Amino acid sequence: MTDKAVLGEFEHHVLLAALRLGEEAYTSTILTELEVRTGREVSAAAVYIALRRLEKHRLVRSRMRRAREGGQRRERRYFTVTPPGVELARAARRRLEALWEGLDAVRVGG
Amino acid sequence: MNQATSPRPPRLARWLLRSVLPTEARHLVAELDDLHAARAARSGRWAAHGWYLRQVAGFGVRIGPRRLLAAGTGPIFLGRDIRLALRTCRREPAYAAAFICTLALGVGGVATVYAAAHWVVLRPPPGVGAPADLVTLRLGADGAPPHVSFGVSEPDLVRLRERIPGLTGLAASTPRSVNVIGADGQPRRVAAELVTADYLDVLQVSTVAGRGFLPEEGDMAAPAAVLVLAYDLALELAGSAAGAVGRTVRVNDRPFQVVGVAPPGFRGAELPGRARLWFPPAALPAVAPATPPDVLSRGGAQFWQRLVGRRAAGVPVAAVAAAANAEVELAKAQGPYPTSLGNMVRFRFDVWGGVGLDPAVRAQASRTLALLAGAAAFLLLLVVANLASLVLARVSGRTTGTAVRLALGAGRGRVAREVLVETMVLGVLGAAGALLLAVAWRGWFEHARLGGGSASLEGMPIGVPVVAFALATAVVTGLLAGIPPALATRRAGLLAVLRGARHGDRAGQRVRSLLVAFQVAVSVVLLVGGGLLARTVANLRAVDLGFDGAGIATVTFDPEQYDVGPGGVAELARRVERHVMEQLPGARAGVVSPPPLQGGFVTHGVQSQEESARWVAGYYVTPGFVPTLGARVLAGTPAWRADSGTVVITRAVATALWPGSPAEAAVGRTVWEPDYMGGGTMRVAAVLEDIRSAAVTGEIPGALFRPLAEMSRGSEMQVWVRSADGPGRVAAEVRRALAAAAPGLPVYDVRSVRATAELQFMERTVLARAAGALAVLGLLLAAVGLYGVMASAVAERRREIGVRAALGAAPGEILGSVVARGLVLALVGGVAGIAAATVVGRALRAQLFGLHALDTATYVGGMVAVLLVAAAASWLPARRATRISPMEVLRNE
Repeated sequence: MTDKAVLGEFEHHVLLAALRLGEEAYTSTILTELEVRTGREVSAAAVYIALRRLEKHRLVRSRMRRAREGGQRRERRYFTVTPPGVELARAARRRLEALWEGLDAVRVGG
Repeated sequence: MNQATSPRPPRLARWLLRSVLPTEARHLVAELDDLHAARAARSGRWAAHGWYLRQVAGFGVRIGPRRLLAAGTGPIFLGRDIRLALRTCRREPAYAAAFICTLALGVGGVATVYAAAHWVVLRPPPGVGAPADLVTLRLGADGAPPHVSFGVSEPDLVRLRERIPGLTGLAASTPRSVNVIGADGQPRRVAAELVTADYLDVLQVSTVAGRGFLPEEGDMAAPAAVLVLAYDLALELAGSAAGAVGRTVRVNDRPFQVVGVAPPGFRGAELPGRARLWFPPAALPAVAPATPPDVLSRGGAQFWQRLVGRRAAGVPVAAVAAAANAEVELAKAQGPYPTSLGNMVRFRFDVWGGVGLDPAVRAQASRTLALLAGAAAFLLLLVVANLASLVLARVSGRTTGTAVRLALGAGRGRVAREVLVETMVLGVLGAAGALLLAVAWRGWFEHARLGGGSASLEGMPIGVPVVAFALATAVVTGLLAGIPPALATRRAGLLAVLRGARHGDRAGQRVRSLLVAFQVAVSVVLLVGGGLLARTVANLRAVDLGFDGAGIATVTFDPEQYDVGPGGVAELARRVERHVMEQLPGARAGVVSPPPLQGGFVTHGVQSQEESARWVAGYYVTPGFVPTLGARVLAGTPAWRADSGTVVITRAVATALWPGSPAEAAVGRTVWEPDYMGGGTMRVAAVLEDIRSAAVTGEIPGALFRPLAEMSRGSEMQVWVRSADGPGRVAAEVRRALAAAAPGLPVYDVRSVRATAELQFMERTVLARAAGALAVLGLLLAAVGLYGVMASAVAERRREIGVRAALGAAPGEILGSVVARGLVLALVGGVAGIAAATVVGRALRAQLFGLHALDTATYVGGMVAVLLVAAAASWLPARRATRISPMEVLRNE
């Protein structure tokens, strides 16, 4: 099932951002992380939909958690990347690296 | 981060986001709040707002449609709702019928007015190519009323064609009614146009069968009895357009060959046009043999009534107007060559782009239509309020069911959408009803003429544009009416319901009370507007014409082109007069030409020896006419025999010609015709009290009656008969009298003089009738609304009333308290309505006659009517309240 799940580029990005954020991965931190890393404005709706899709394919897991922050109660959905998710990210990286092999000149030029 | 001072996202955008997000993602609202605050701190408040709006839009686009689909059962979610709505109609037929009928009434009114507006001002003239490039020229005169125009001679037309730059063609037409033998063999009167040979070409009208006119047919010297038929007339006479070409049609009792058939809908360059037959100058000798053969070559003949030019690309209308009026100035300065442009009167061309109504008439028609549209819109507002109240009542009644459904997990949006789809479905059904009503109501308007009589509504269709309009209006109205109840549904709380508030929430009741007050206000506005107009029409009807017009029946015929035997038309008229008097015992009869009270009279120049020429309304009459008229004779012989060289004048003529001496003294004096009119003299045989022979209102012009035998050529004649017999019987006798002398001569305009006079204020009668009907409907709707609110209030206060009754309140007290509440509602609405009505009254000012725009009696009457109806509407629920049994209420506690 996992193998068959085709990840779009943006979903891939969301998955990686969630991995980076670890315990602190929820929609707005993922969005901020993506914006900081890619330097582009990211739509919250796109992140929301990507996360739902990832969860549907069991690549991430989520649970609601209440947190206190600055004297305010915040209810958020936290996301954790599942082992299949991690595996998928790794596989994707391997594929990419295989594709990049021998293209160092382009890489330097870019 | 201090939340208290950091800016919040735009409230509406935040609300939108909240509504679009599914419940499990609502926490995102707070997350986006934080991101918005962070962004505001970093790049400023407006940048943050912009970002936030983009985010909301993103959610709207990405998950909005998905949410809608998910709420239903997939892509056919609307179909499901529609089926549900239709099932509701079957299950609750009374509710559906009330909704559909109310909506149909409101939309039907608006659709009918729209149909009229479309017919008169909105549509392009049918059959005419590129109407925007056309330009209409009308010769008016300084000081003449805006609807009076003068003809242009053929030589002047030719000169204008050459001298106005930027025109690719300039055609002309003159309206002329003719008598046509119909398919049934009966003669009838048909509106026709005499046109230049290039008329159809300039208008870019392509015939659907046969041809248009040939250049040589523009010449009277080579007579050719040819004509082009309107499409519908061709169908009527020959069964098909192609079949009509080559056929012979009898016009004015002479054979004509049909050479072409105009495209469907084409009625000439007027809008709404009436012509159904066109003939070129070459056909004139056959249509009107009495026409002088050189009329086209006379420079001074006022021949062509209406000029239509086609502008070359980029030529402004103003340039055409300037060039045409330069020609008028030239004619005036260079005279005295014979010209129709430079006579005694100061002429000028009124020029407007396009074809159709001239701007003054159009403006008048538009004003009337705007008033009608306003009244219809008010009624529609009432309908929206009524429907909203109706749906609200029903939704309130279902609160328990709705709340339970919500508790079982139905989405609030889902339930609200069901209400909206249901009102929309009922809206479509209402539109169908509205169209049926529009078709029925069209009959009311069909004989109406707007724009001071120029814009006939005859033949007005309920076509595709009207259907589209009605559908759109009905659906929007249904939606508007569904919104408040849909919102109320969203508020339906299970807890409140289970706590026992069975009959809807208080807020719903408040909204309905407000709607009712609004309805009362609107119906007061309609009542006052309708009342002002109705009183205007009553005042106009009561205008003293100077003679009793109600007892006089009229029948019109036009013997101009008929060979009527020895003695000519004068003898024919005398014969008709005698015949009618013999056949209808006790009747008085006379013949007059041209027919009075239709704007037609011979503008007679008369002068005394001392005074310069005065213009008066002249009529040619038979001896029987003045006695039939029955106006008071001030002096002279009442039994004037219409002897040659004598005239009868009215007081206004006498005082104009001999100022300073009493009108009675005019008898026996001599009236002179100005030289340019022949220069004859006439002796005054009698002086009549002033009569209104031309216009019902306005200044009274003098009238002068001359012997019909002196008429130089025959023209339209009207038989006036004062008898106990109706116009129908009179017409039969006139027909019989005419049959011997001129078989095939049709009679028309069979009615009473009163009815003819009323045609003059037809526009206001139409307005008054429509406004009155709308006002009655409005009052009815407001009454129904009030009844509904009071009934549900009584139902809601059942317990309270029961307790009061148990504590000894008399039935009268309970009745009084309920009725008082209804009256207070009506009073609040009524006062607001009166305030609005003063504005409407002022807008109506131009239409009123004989009363002030703030006529107290009408306003008080409107208010009293509303209060009476309100009392009646709340009395029924109040009586029910008195029957509430305290025992029963307390037992149910």
